[in-house]
Amino acid sequence: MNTKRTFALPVLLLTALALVLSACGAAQTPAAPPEPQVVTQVVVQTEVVEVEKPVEVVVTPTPGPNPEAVISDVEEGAEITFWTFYLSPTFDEYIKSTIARFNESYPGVTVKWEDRQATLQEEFRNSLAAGNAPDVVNVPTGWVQEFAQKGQLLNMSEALPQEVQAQYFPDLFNQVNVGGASYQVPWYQAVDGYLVNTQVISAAGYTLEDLPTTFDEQKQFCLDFKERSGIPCGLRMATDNLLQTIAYEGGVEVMNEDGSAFTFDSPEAVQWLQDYVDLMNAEAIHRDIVLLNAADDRIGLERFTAGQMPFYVTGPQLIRVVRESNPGLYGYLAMVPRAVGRSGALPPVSMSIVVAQDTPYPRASAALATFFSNPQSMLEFAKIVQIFPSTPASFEDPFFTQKPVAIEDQIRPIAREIISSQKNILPEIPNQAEVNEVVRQAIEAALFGGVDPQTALTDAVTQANELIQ
Amino acid sequence: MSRSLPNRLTPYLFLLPALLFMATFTLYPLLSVAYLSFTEYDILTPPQPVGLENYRELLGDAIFWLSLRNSFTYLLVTPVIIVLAIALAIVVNRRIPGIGIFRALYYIPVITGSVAIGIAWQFLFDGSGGPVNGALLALGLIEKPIVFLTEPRFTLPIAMLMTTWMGVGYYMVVFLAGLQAIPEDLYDAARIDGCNDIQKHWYVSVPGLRPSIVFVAVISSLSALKVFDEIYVLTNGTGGILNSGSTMVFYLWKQAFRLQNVGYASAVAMVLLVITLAFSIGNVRLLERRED
Amino acid sequence: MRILTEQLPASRAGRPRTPWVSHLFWYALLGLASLVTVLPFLWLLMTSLKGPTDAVFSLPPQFIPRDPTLNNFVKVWQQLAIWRFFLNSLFVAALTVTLNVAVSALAAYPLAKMRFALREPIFYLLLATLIVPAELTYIPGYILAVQVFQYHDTLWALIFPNVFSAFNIFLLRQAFQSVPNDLIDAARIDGANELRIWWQVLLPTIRPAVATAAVFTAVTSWNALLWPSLMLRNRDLYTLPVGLTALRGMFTADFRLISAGAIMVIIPILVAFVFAQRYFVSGLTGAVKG
Repeated sequence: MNTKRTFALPVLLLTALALVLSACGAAQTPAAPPEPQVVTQVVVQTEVVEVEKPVEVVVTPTPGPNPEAVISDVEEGAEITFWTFYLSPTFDEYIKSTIARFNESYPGVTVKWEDRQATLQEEFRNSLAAGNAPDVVNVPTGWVQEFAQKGQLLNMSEALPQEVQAQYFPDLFNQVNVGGASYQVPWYQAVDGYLVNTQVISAAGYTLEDLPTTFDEQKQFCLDFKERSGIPCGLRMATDNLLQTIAYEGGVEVMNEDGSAFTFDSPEAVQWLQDYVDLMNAEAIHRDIVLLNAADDRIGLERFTAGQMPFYVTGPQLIRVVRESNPGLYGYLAMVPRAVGRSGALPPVSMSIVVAQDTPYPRASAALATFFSNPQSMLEFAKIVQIFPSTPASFEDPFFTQKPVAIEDQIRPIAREIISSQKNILPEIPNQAEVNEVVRQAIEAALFGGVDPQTALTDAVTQANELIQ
Repeated sequence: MSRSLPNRLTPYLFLLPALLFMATFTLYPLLSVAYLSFTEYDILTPPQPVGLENYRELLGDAIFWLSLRNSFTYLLVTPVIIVLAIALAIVVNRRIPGIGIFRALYYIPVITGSVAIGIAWQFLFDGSGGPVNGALLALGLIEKPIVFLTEPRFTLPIAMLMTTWMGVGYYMVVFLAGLQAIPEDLYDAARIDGCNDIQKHWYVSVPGLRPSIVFVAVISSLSALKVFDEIYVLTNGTGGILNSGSTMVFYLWKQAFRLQNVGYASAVAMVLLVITLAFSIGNVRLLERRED
Repeated sequence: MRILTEQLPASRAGRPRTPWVSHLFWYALLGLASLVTVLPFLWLLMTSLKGPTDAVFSLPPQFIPRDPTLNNFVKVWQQLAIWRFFLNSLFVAALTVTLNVAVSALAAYPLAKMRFALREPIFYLLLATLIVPAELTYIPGYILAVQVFQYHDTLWALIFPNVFSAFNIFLLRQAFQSVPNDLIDAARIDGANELRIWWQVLLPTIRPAVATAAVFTAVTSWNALLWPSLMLRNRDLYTLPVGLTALRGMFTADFRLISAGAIMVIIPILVAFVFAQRYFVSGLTGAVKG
């Protein structure tokens, strides 16, 4: 577990994070970075580089004596519980040292940290019901809406001073819109791209230049690729939030203007579903990958590693997993931006920190939430694993402008542009979990049950509208 | 028969600990759930009474009916398990060197638990390079790999296969015990009557095992009606494409813990309760009649 | 080996008439059957031994690792205290079994051997609970654990809800019924009170059934997943299934590590079973005779 060398972190660190990040509801919708040709170079030999730069971080002016203490009137003697999601034991050291720094800024607050894993969502829900909820919780951003709609979370738009809200990219701070307010602070972000197996694509006579940049090109590419090589693509929808996939990939307005009825049976939506049906019928996509749960993303990655698909949409933090799993493949990997959906936008792949509405210590809790997501904490986190800050100031650090060497770091120089352009284009979806279930049924019926896409979606819209009456 | 008060209290004192634990950990939750079935409840906000609304909704819920049908289909594992477990018990009921090792091997699936087994079975049935596909391809039975766990028609059969596979070793032990309780004279008599090996088992072992068979039938059919773990681990908690693997308990769990429709899930639970209650009373009748 | 071969009385079915031919036949049959139960685990084992260049999934499937390594086990061992999960599981199972069997045996006695007004209603009430799915009790059970008993995040939360088992009461009642009434009457005439009769006369006679109940309870407790994962937050308190799920999450993209973890969980159970096997089997002897 010696992590002296920056690029020699153990695989466990990354495998643990693999789920964390893949569980954030990574959509298939491609990123839309301004310059779509990020990496086309295949690095065969990795150089190990020591990165030791002094940290220079711009911090928001603060009321307290400590520059990092940005929340005033923190309750004396507050004892708060902080749950993280899948971060222990890999990041114990980071979390503990950050809590120690927090205690320097806010002496008198006791933080009890616990890491939660697969059952976090259920446990949080149950603990809210039982009245013993943790004060501060790290959740995938996709889960925030449910708790916010039920009035269980602290309204961050009210609780945080303007200058603290301003430490985040505005579109990330406001990505969960419940009644016009934000109920989370954005924590670490992932950037997904195509992880390409150049061996597989060159065997089929393709180069990196031939990879699709739009959703329509992607469909054609997969059909052609299957035709030429017999190998299907490994496309995966955001199963936790299928409306997100529909909206970003298909350019579909999923609800009407005033949010009173669903509209995801429009011609655009039918076309989107028909595209998948076409791919399925041509066996140009893997049947068991397309609706794989986010938590089981690894199945797709393992399949990619085994050379059974040309590319896989994932984050750079997973490249080392592939490398560990199949070192021979590492030299043939490349990371390029993924195709852009018809909406032209790309969804955030994001972790949030939320505060329970009923906490006895709202100020101390808000302090902890903002502290973990402040520019310095975020920068330090980004240095130990390939995640990206939600705070523009962190990107001022030279760390982000260094020329990357390893394949997994090649997205770093453009990360800021990608992150700052990510935004949520979905309206607030009432009863999201159940609506998602209805949408899933429709997609399954069309892909696996032979139901006509128009019929499937029209039925689903009827059912979904009943749910929000 | 006249008895003193303490004497009349005795049975109740013996029953007291069990009744206390039952009241706290089964009856109270059950009543609570019965109440919740008439409410809309999402765990986070207080329950809202809605009368019979949940039950009305159930009637028109196709997935509920599918789950009901799947649960009844699942009962097919019971006869299969019984036949296989008896056959296996007869095979291992002999004294040859190393037989203990074989018995232990058959028991492995019982003690390893559904998490480890679920992992192993997902490997087995993997659509890209699992051993099952490999074997079927090698035998020329299929031309290209089948992605088993995405085929609605395979979800339930694979889960049932897993249940059978996990259960045979378990119930084999019951039948083995039953076989060893059969007096040897009966086999000798059968031999004198000129029975061959197979007839011997048909005329002696099977009738001798009747109590065990009834016992296994009751236990395994009740657990088949309540199946959950296999579905959960094999479908990664989704219930399979188009709910093809959804069973009563799975649907109940999904509604309660995935979709937070605790009230609606409670209504599903009450239906399950009624069905299994009828089922068990039938079973008990069967058992009691045998005792007469 | 001796333990394994000598644990049972002489079999009634197989006679040592033509040992070699018939042995060969039975070994072939036994081997074939064990292949079916063992193959999935063997595959898990082989995967856990695979090195980085071996494919986990390929067609045709690669069974034997070309580049075998124990590194996967080392990595899992460094990350997860599997021995601690094992001890936790053992503690929970042992206490659950003891309390459960004691409470069940107490309740089964009057139901089998005494006449009293509420016998039938109580029996059917108990029996009815047999069909209550555990998942049903989780929501109220969680709130009980947190607000009333405040024992969540302790191992007791896994024990107390499983002390009552209608199944075991039913099983032991059957066993008590098979005990001749003369035996009880004789003890009563000797002036023994009911508790002493229960403890000194009845329990020893139904020991096989008690062992059966213990085995069934232990296996259930050992394999429980959903409830423990709702109750336990502290990693040091994880039981094996919860630990294995955590491992599945931790090594999310590496099937070799997941396999290694699963094997490490299975091996101690297997060893324990090989040594305790005679109790498993003898425990069931006579348990179900009517």
